[in-house]
Amino acid sequence: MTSRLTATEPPGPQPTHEPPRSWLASTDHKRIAILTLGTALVLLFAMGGLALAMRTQLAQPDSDFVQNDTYNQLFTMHGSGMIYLVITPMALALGLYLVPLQVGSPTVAAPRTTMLGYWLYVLGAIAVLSGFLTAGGAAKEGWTAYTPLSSARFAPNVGTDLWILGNFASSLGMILIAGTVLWTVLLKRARGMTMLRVPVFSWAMVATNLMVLAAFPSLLIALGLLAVGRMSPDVFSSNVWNIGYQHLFWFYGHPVVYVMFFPFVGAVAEVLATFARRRFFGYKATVLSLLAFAALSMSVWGHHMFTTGQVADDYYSLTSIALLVPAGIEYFAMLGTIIGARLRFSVPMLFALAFIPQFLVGGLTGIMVATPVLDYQMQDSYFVVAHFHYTLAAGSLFGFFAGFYFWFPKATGIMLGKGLGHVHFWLMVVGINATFLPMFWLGMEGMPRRVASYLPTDGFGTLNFISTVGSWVLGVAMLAFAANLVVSIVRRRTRRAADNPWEAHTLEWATSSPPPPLNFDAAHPLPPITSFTPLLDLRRKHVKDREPT
Amino acid sequence: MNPALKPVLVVLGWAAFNAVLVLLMLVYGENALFIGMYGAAVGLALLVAGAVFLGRRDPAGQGRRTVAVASQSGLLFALAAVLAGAGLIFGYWLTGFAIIPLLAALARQRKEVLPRGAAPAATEVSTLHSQRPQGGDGGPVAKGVKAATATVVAAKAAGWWRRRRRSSRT
Repeated sequence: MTSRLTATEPPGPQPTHEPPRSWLASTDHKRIAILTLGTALVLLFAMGGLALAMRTQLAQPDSDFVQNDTYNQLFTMHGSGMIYLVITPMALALGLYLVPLQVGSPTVAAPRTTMLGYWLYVLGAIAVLSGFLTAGGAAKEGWTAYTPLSSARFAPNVGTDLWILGNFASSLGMILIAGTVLWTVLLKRARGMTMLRVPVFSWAMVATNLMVLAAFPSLLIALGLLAVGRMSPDVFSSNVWNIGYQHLFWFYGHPVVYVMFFPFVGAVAEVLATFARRRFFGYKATVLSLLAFAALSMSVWGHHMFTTGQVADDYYSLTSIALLVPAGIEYFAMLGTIIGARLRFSVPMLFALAFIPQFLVGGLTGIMVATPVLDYQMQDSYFVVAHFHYTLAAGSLFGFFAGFYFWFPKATGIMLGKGLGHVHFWLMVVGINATFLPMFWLGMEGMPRRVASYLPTDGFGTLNFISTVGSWVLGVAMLAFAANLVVSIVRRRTRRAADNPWEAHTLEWATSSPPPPLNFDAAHPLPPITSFTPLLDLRRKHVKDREPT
Repeated sequence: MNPALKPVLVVLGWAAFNAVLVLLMLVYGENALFIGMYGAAVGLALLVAGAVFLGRRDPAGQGRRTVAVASQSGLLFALAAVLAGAGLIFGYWLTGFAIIPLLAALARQRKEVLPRGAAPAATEVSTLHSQRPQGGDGGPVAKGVKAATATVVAAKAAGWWRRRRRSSRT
């Protein structure tokens, strides 16, 4: 299907709003995506600040940097904030920005619905964070908000109610955004952009958005159940509702891990192919594996509940281990893309290369904790904390930064600084590994998660101290990133980006930097689309045409 | 030549694989309630497939639709929804306030679209056309990092070569 709107149509009526209205009431998918990404980045710093406070508390045994109750609020808001309000919106916003450009569509489908999704997200975030201003403080039951701990009997504070409301609103917003982006890639592609010419990143967004549409409603039902339970506490006196809540929650809670992962796999794939100066290796196998991965990820939720003794362990263990097959295909495809290539080690490429081994650590330890015999030992220990931070921080966040440095010039017309980019990258590598690697040993030695303190005799002091130092290095890395953003924007006149500064392969690089409102215009028409790397095809054709016969 | 892969088949195929996983769950004896929960998600995926199928069958319908050029209604609808939700926490009186942004959103919605048949103007932006990759060695920090990396790699290579020589002598 092709879209009727094209950027080369004769000019018609155009709204003439000035900023900020032109942004806050925009129907341009790029602006909505930048608003979403900007909001998520601000919240990333806020949630990271909460993590630093936690790590400072744990640097030494018997520390009283924060009170126990405050600590409970910190880990709840950090965990839930990062998942509901930071990484998921970042992942979907990246798709919202890029998918219409990559498939040659001038707009996103239903832009007002997309904007509604953004505002639900923002107002939801405000509701969640406003819990800190209430008398009883913010929510403090962990990001899972298990019942009956989160019932009105044990958590009577308004902060928990606001947490439920805010996360409901923001997740609903994410569903709306996912729906419009999925519709765009499936039904608003440019002429010539067949499904098997859709770039890997956009395919990753197809898989992501399918998961959002199928799994996120389960979270809405779970949060609704929680709200009903807080109004009628008797609900959670029945086991079926307690275990039912966990099923509903994890039916969302596991796919969301892949929602926070696939877009960054797609980003890394594009970065690797560009800086390896070749097509992404194993395109069709990767597309198939992404879809299979997404389907399998819907079926593994019970591995988070092994220790309840109320799930079919064998099934969830089998499907969890089966995830290795599509994951392995994607890893081989990434390695196949870079092996033997003339690599360019620009900042996006460094982040993409670091993503590969770091996420592997998170993935393989995930298989460990998805094995019932090991999970019974490691459940609720720091081993699990290390595992999921290797997937989300060492994995997804590195994939995000690979994409951020890669597409920032396209979105803004400004090149980010290389020097500060390198500082940011190396400090992040050191900081991430120093923070989370010791946690594996802490978990093996028996340190439980979600504890505000430990005794000197526990023997956790040294590893916790290393972890805390690592977290502060990570904090400095993020400051380097912020400085890079500010400096680059201030010096934008000397750092103007070309339309295709990296010699990338996909359609978004055929238009201007930043792209015009309808993505492609008379000066930047859509090139012929002959494969999933149309610009690479064009360059090769030009080279071939110039060769003497 | 690329074989034509229909969008609806992508969604249907994905739903079908999930359906197989649901059926496999039966073999392993999971509680029927939670198998049903997964089945409901497959149902949602099928609904998406149905919507894609209908959307694809009616490409001409796009021409009859109007084009939205503003989206204040999004903020107003969201405000109404969150106020209504907050009414459950702070009292139903707050839900009453949600009616104001809701009505404003409904009124606003009609004004946000262009007349039928009109399209937004194509707008050009200033751009550098150079396709040259941004080369250069970066700043002093990048140079320092590169020099340090090169030194470490060289030292490692020299050590490996020395060890190899020693082992070949013995």
